[in-house]
Amino acid sequence: MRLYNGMVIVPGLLIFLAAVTFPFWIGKVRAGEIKTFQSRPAPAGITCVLPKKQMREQHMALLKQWRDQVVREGDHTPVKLVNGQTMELSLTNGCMKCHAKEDCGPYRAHATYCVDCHDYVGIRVDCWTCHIDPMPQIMEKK
Amino acid sequence: MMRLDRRDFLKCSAAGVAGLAAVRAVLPASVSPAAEGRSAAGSSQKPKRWAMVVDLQKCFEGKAKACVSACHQWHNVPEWPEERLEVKWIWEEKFSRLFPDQSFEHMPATLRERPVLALCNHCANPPCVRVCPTKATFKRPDGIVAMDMHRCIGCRFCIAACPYGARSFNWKNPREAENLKHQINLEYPTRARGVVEKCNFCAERLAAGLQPICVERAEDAALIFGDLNDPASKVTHVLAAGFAIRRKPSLETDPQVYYLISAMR
Repeated sequence: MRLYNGMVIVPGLLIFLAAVTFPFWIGKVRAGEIKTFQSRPAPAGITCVLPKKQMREQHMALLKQWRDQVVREGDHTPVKLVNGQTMELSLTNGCMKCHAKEDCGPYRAHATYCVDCHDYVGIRVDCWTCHIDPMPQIMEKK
Repeated sequence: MMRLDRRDFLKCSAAGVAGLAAVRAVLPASVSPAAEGRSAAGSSQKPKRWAMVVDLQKCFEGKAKACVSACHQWHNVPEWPEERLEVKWIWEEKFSRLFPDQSFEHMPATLRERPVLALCNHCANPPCVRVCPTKATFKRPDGIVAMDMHRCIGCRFCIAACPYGARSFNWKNPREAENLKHQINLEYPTRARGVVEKCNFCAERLAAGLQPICVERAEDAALIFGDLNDPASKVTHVLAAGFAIRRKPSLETDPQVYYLISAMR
């Protein structure tokens, strides 16, 4: 058997393979550039509506459920926190009451608490185009 | 194997459909949990029917302007210098333009030219809700025609459908407006570029047991807000004891903003 035009086909195949497997090897090549995400301890005495692990995995579903409850059903019943306190169903005046605290150190450098993690996993959230990030105002008052 | 010929198949299908229909007719109406929850929430009384009365004798000039700016500040409404970009929830308009059918040459010029407050009428039969392709605009059980900004795709059908000009489109990012750069109310979100917005009867304040911000600012009962399904409420009394008109009633949108011409004595 003879391979005609091998000079073109073989390099072509190699380029094709490199392109197809791009997602698998690019991570290895750029491993040094990727920052590892550092989880920060929650400020003392503050608990969320679910344990941390569940919040990580399910917060998006919870937020959507609360959104529909407040906007479409007009039901503003506050939600219970793990420690028995209640929280207003509002991004700016509920979640951010804890998550944009001024003593949260490194969060200052970011628009919000959320951006930190979402940047790391490459997800763009558009909540903050409308909902107000209270962080700049908190910083201004200082 | 059992053989089912065409005739038997049709008979069985018909019997099945009839059976299903019978089951649905027999079961109580509130099978769905959503319907049940809603009726339980307002079980003690009839659902509310929010309405507003604008007193034409009291609400104009300085007072009306204060209402407009209070509302726009509270709801983070952007102010653009160009009129074509204007966003408004509540605004002033000449009587003759709000009520073209009730205006005529020989009426008192002071009334014809008087700037009157206009806002979303929260129609009982809202055309904007009918045309919205995503159900971003919807009517709540308490009569408020509300908007879910998460769903608005900016098609502007509602703007075309509203006969009162109560809806505005965000041609630009509201956060870039000068007034919102300097002062923003944390109690209420802004909107994004590309969505429609309008008055929401201060649904978020009503939920907290407050009156709408314009009503609060107007004072002296220049604006009256309340529940028309409550026979003891002030709006019910005022409407029953005076002469009020509504904008373009012939369109049968059934507006819930009433303009009090005179309170009878």
